[in-house]
Amino acid sequence: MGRVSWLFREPEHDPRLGQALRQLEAMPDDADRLRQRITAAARARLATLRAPAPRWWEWIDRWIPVAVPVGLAVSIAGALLLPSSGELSVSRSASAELVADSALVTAAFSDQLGGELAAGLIAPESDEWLLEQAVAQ
Amino acid sequence: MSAGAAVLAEAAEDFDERQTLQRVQAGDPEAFDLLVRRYLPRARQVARRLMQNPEDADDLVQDAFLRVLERIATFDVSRAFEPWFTRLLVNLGLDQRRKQRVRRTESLDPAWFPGGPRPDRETERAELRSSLSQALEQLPDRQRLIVTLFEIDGHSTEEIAGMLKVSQVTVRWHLHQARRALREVLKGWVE
Repeated sequence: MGRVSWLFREPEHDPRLGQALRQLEAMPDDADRLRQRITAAARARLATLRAPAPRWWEWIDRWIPVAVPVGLAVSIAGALLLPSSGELSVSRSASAELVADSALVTAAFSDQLGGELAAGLIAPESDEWLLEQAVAQ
Repeated sequence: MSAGAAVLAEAAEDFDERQTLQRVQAGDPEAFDLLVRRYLPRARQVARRLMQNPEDADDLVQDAFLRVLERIATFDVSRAFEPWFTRLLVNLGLDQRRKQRVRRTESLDPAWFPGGPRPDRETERAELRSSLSQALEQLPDRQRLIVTLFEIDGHSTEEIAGMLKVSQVTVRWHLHQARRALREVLKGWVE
């Protein structure tokens, strides 16, 4: 810790080194030329800063030429895709029916429900149930 | 004092930084000119310490001032401009130096430090100066910048740490390394 304690203290300036380095730093006397070069290069950017921020109607005006064709294209694409989406819904309902059927068959043959439901669904034992229905009406 | 230096020194007087920055944010060319006059000498000094040759240093200063205009709209004018600008300049310079190092194929030119032709009667001293400038050039960019900011400009390590966005301990370590290398050369310096 003692060997690196200088890392935690503010060092003293070295006047001899500072003077020697200063002697190397004579600046050329053409600062004004550089200043003019910088201000000339900055003109366009300064003009951009001077330009006021667009108001909402200017913003809309700017985007309408883009927004209208894009909106039309989306509408046309939607209209073209509509029939295929109908087909999709039919196939979806068919698959849903299939799933429901298979679930019913599984339930019917499961031990929990017993054979009564299965028998009723697959083949009724007699015609008595039909007679009962007719009498009830 | 030369005419150019006098014009720039004049800019140091009556300078309301906050108001000038607000005017620059509004795109006022006169305010921008005032800002350039105010910070150009210092920016040029820092840029010359970073870059390989004076032309590159001047290009860096120009790039930094133009970068200021790109970001000035979001700059909080209640903050001090100089540390922000110095950081922007240094980061831009270090970035350019990195790119240069990738491209560079020829060796360093040790004569880029200004000073002009050396009189014969000062040959020995000039040689020592040349050795010092070579030693300074051979330092890593960050070390060179730190030692000059500390020894020439008189900044504290805390101020330098703030400018470079590094810790004070890092600054002190780089300063220590740089001074050790430069003092080696100064051993032969006869005043």
